[in-house]
Amino acid sequence: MKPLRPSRWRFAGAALHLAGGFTVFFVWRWMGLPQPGVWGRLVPLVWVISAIVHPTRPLRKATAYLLLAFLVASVLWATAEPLLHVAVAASVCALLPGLVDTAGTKWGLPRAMLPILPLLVLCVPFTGDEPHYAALAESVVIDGDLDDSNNLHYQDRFAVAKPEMSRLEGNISHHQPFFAVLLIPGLLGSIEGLRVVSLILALLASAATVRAFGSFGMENTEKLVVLGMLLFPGLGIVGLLYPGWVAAGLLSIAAWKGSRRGMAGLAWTALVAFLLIALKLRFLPLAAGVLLARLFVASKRERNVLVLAAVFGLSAVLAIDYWILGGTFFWIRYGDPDTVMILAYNLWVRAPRVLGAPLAALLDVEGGLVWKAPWVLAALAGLPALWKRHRSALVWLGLPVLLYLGAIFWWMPKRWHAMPTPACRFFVPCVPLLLAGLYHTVRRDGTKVLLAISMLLTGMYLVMPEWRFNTADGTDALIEGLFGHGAPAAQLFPSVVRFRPLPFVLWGVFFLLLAVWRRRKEVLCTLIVGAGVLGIFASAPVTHYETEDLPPPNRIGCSLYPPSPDPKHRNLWLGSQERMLRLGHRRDKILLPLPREDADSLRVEAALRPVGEEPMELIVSAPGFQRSLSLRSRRAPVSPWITAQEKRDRMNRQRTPDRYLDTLVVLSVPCRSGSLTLSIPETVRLPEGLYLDYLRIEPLP
Amino acid sequence: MITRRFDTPVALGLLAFAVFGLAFAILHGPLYLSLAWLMVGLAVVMDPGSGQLRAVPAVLLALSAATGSPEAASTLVFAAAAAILLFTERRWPWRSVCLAAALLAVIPSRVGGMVVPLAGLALACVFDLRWLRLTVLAVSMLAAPLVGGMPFSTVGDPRVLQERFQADSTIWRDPVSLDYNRRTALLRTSGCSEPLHLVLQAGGVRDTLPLGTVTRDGYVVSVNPGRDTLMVPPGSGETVVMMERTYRPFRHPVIHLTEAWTGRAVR
Repeated sequence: MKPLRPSRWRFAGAALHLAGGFTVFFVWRWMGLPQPGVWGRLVPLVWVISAIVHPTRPLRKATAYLLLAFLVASVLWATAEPLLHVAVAASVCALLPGLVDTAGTKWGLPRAMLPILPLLVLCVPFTGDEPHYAALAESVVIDGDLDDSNNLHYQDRFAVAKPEMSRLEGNISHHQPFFAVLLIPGLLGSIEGLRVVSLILALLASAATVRAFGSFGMENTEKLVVLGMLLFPGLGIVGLLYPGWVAAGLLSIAAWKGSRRGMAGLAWTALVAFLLIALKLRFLPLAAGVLLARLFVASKRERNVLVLAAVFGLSAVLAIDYWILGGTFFWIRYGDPDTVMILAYNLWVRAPRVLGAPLAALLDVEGGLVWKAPWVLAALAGLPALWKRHRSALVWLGLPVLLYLGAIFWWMPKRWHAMPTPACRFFVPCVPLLLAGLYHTVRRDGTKVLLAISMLLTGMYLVMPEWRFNTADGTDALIEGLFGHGAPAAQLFPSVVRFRPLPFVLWGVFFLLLAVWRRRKEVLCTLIVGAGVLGIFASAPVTHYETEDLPPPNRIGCSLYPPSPDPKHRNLWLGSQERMLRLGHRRDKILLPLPREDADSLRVEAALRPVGEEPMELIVSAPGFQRSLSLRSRRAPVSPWITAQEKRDRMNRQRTPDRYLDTLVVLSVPCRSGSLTLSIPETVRLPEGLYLDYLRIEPLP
Repeated sequence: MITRRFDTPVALGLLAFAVFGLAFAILHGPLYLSLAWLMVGLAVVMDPGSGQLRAVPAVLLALSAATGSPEAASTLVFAAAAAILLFTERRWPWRSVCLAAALLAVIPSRVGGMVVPLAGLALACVFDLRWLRLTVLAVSMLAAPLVGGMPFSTVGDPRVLQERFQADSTIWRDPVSLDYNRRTALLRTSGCSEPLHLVLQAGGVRDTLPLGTVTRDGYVVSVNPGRDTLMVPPGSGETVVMMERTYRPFRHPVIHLTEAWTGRAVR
């Protein structure tokens, strides 16, 4: 995309950016867009900062057109809600191509990120692990301990560090202190200060990535690296209190400094490996990968030294932790037989989940990479070229990532997505590798289209930051926001939680085509065809209803179970982890329209779990039809060691619906116009009730 | 011409599949919308213009295909057609195809206030100079709310709010904001014999006149700027909260309904 005709006046670009900011400010008020006091000021501020940090940059054509798109969509915003999102996203997105241009200049990385700083620091909800890291940083400074339970909420009335699920003995934080210590300077500026420090750490990590690429002969990569920060998965946590970017930076430092021959390289490798482990035990496989990569370039003598040093160092760390630190680093977290038990259980019982996790990590609509970052397809397509031309880079960046992802999928086959924290945050250490792959395909026309779509998504995630957070319930926040809650199209995306093979296969083919096409027309054609096919399926009559997605017109009362969307409440469920809809009050009702078919009768199928000491009664009624059913469910089989573990932990999970098997109710209902109603006759107390999984209404042949 | 634009057999096959698929789509959705979608979709693929920018109409079309609302689909197709019409380097007969698609998508739809934007698009279609097209469309868009009123959806379906039952009480805890985009909210109070309490916050205007109303069984309470807890007397019908203000520049009227309850609900 070429810039607009260069002007003789050096600062014409700055003037045009200022004019753009004024246009956004004016149009926002002229059209009566919502939240003029917050977004209506922050977005123009982004334009003004952009003009100041790079005054000599020309205005890009893409910027002008996206500004016009903002104007068009802001006029139409009252017609439909998606247009409002398009308008707001376009107003920020218009700046992104210019920010990438800025990256190629002196001090380009910080100057490129500075304009969006207010959006990153002020607007993203302070949630997930962030309060814990902030509390831990404060605890280290003020209390001199690692107990974060008595911090933060005294300092900031908006922030609360709730007890974590895995709070350790003696109130030691689940999180390690190294990253929190790095954040300490930010304590002076409260939450915003901590986030600014985290952004600085991400910038340093990106600078290290540029250097690493340079050491492998990949030049002029500043723009590429800024893309890594502006697009998912990097965008998900850039400027937030998560250690992913520091890990990516350490990996890049290992590739940059550790790949040198001689003892200096060896020392850098060992240091990075140690820091990765100190940062988070989750990064232990990254550290192992770094050491393994070093083995490839080391001489025989160095290999011996490295192996000895690794064994000695690991033993020393474990011994110091056991005898001096009281096990606070490793032993009380993972030093018990349950750890080994979980790994063995995952390997033998959950093997399909473990093996399918890599595919899910790409395609799952909530946590999958390709939905948030289509550019990843081009990056993956570039890996063979990376192997051919910069093999050393692939070894240094790829081997640690391979081990890391393998460990994540093996250790957490149900929780690799890290929900409900920002989507894809576990994949941030993969960013240097993905950027190295992208380096080899970035000149393809098809890649440019994928990058453009990724930038449009970035615009959405910057102005709708809450869309980064999914809850592992089978629906994506962005898709629900654009298409509407419970829209038929939202059911057609591949989801691990609501696993159906067909969407995975069809979308897999779609994304495979996007990855292999090189030409712009082919990519565009695939996109349009994909959208058209989606439209076909979305406009087909609905026969299958996930009850937890039913919008208010289709349900009166009825509560969701579990009441909190946080997936941690479903982590220990043995079967499906979908939320369910509970009929527990006599006024609770489900109302579904009966399809107008030529058939005489309809087949109604309901999957549900009646939970109660006595059989539960379900009343099904439709025009000319009423039936009362007495239902009881069978309990799901539970491994004895899980029961023993629960007894030890004093957990009473015997009467929760996840411990019951689905009961399938099939009825034949006369086909007349009207609606089908499901209800119960009496109010029951929690946890009793009728828990519904799905409903299906089809004409009987 | 097609073989020149799509000179690989696979791409040609893909195009054929697209035409077949979209023809199939016509059988399902509204005919006018499917035809407009087909025209704009082909225009995106076949236009030789600037590459990255074509991602914008492609994404708009994808949104329109999947959105659950026909009004949203119509306006998204209009926006996609306008985007192609603006950045294409082809001459006016080609641009008129995009204009036709925009007209086809909007006129039969239930979206009102689109006369000025469509007229602006038609005028922009005439000019070969891109900056002139851009200026005409920008001016028409800015003037549209003043001349013909702000484009709006004529479908007045209220947004039903999800209630929860708590013993003999009913509570509504999901907050909702009513503005130009979504004007009406419905609380199903027909089974409740107690008075209804609503916590409302209204604002975004430069006067103290009411922004909207709460109606139940003919009993009407006005919603004034500021934060308020309203009590609506018992009745047998549903309760409707409506934002009544019409468009005026530099006004952002909004009513936030944060919670509501009947009886002695535990809040």
